[in-house]
Amino acid sequence: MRIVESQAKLEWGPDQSVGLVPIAPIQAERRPRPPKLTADERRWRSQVVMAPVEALVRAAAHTQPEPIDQAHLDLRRLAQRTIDLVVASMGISRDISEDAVIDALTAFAERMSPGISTSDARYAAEFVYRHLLNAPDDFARFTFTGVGEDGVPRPFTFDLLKLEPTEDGVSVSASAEAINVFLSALDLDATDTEAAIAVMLERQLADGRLDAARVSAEAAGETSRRVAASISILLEDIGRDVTSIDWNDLRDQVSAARHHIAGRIVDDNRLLEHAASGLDADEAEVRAESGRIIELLEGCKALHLDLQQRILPVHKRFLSAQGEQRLARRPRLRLLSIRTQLFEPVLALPAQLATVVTDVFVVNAFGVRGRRLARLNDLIDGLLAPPRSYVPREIDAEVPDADDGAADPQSYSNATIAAAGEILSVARRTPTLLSDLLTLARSRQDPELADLLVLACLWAFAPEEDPEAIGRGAEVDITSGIESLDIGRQLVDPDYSGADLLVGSPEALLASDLVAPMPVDPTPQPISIDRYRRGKK
Amino acid sequence: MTDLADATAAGILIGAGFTNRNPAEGSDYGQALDRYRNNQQFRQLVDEFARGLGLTILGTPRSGVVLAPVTGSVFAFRLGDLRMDNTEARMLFGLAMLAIAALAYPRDDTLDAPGGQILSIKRVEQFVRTSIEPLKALTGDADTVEARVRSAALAWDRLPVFKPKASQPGPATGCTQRIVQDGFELLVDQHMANRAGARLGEGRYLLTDRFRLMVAEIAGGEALEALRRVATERGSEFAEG
Repeated sequence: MRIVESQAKLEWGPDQSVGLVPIAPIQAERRPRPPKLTADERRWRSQVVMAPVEALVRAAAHTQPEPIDQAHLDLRRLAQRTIDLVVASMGISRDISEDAVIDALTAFAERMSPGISTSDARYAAEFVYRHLLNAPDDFARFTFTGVGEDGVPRPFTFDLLKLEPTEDGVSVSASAEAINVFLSALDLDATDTEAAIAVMLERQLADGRLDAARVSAEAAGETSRRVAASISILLEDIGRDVTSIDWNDLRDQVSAARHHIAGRIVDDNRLLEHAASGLDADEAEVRAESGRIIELLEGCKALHLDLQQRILPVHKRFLSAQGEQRLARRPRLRLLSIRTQLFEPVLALPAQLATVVTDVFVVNAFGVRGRRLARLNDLIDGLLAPPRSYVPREIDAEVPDADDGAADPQSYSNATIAAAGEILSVARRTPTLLSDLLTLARSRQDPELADLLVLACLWAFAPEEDPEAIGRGAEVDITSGIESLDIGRQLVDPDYSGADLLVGSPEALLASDLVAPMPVDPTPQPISIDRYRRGKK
Repeated sequence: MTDLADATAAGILIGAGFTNRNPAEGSDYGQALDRYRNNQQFRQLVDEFARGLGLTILGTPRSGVVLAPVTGSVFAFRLGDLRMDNTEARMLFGLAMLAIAALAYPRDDTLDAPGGQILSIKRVEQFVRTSIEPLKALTGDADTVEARVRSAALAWDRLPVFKPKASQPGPATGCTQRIVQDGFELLVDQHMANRAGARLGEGRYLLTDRFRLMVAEIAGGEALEALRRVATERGSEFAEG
């Protein structure tokens, strides 16, 4: 006995103080390790862990004095809630008390079934709680015995909830089995086809059932493409009309899609690795089949990687599309129901009026009219068809730009322009001084005439060479064949100042005796801009 | 700066909008379509290019790019293209088109749901007849204004459902089934429907996303506006008279 004890110590390392031989640990005395569970056994255990919940649901139908109202109380949900409650407090500090569990469950049951009395809710809560502790079997651990293919019965014993005494009562915690099964194994999307196919495929690969695996791989590819399509639709919706998408929905959808795809990529890699082992097989058949499966799986993986690339920037795209489409084409009336909003009202209209609506619909529904190559069939149809009817089309007159129509505040009336032209024609015959022309203009009682005349003479003095540089005003047209010349006289006038220009035709100006010969005087003379410009040309 | 290759791709994409080609993965068209969906800059380039041509890009469902002409565009479909010699025939044709759309896309969410819709001539014709039934009861009174001006519904009701052709199968001119068939056939010409083929039976057509988008985005709204205009004009006439 003494030796056994020291041997037990030796398992953890030689105890120097004892100083006994032998030193080597004795293997035979080790506690036997539990045998490694097969996948079947593992799944069987998970399944069994759920059994107490089903048992309590059945038992609830026979409670006295009357059965629990399961139409309004979901006992499975209550059981699930119990584990959640217990686990939630396990992580934080200390275990939850029994009373707190019951109180919380009662409140939960009351929310579930608003009409229920508090005592009934509490009764249901306690019922569930007690059954999770295996009350019918005197709070023993749950025990189930499984029989394997080998005919050997293997008992499996577990708890769901564990109670521990504390200073002020009893605290509740959850067992590893409860946590693993209720929180982890059950937390998957039971309707996730892609994930299901991946699991199936993995199992078939592991079992070496390659023909089945190939069919599953094809199914996996099909599902991937379907998911890809639904994501494409989402992306398309964003591009088409952002307002058709709820931002919150989008966020959920995108994060779900992203999560899903990330999971798929992990699965793809694992499956590929699985399938790759088949490439080392001795049989050619197995190698070929594995190759085909790998090809299919790689297709899926490429699809998933591509989707991931597209789904990642979707938020950004949504925002930019929002910015863009706010400025996009005018929103059209949006139909809700063609039948009630459009079709039935049109049916009720008189034919004449109905035609107006149907014409609009037809013209707009047929989209673009592309040019196609003539086919013989079409030509025969065309030749035999009645002539095209003339349907008058309303042509909207082109609306001139707003500022074209309004009167230019700086333009002169036609009368003023005509008068200025007359006065200038006097000058065209005989060169005349601007001051004399002004006197003539003032005699006409037109306040704008003098203005126009001065402008015209200035234009004739230095016309703008580039016709595009400024707009052509009235002063340009009436000065044709006229030049102004600075002969060094000062204009004495109440309204205008500057040189008293000599105005006339170029030839007459040269002959005029008013034009002094170029003085030899060294003092700088005013330069005729006009001549300067022409010289430059 | 615009790359010349981008310009080519934009052209390919718009050009493909005039055909009924489906974008094959990896083809020039497929690549251009992918870029249009994902590349902001390229999308803008194509949109502007199309705008210059008088076209709008309505959408890019899986079946390919969907173009719509802007009002007055050279590509716009005109009533004259229908080659219909009288207004009543044109109106009946329009009714058939409306019925096709109403039956294919009964609700607003169906207008948004991509994918083909299979309809048969018989079903569309039947749909119009059922919709007319309640109206017949309403317009029974000979003294009402409605009865004096024969309603669109009555024009349809007057025609027989089916008239056989002399030697070939199918409806002959002068029956309502033929009008519906004409509508479908024009949709086929415009790449908005396919004949469903032998597997689904004769007289069945598969409407594509193009038609859906055209109805949802443009034709439906425009027709609704036209209907409202007509209704208000008519309302004021009644008020005056």
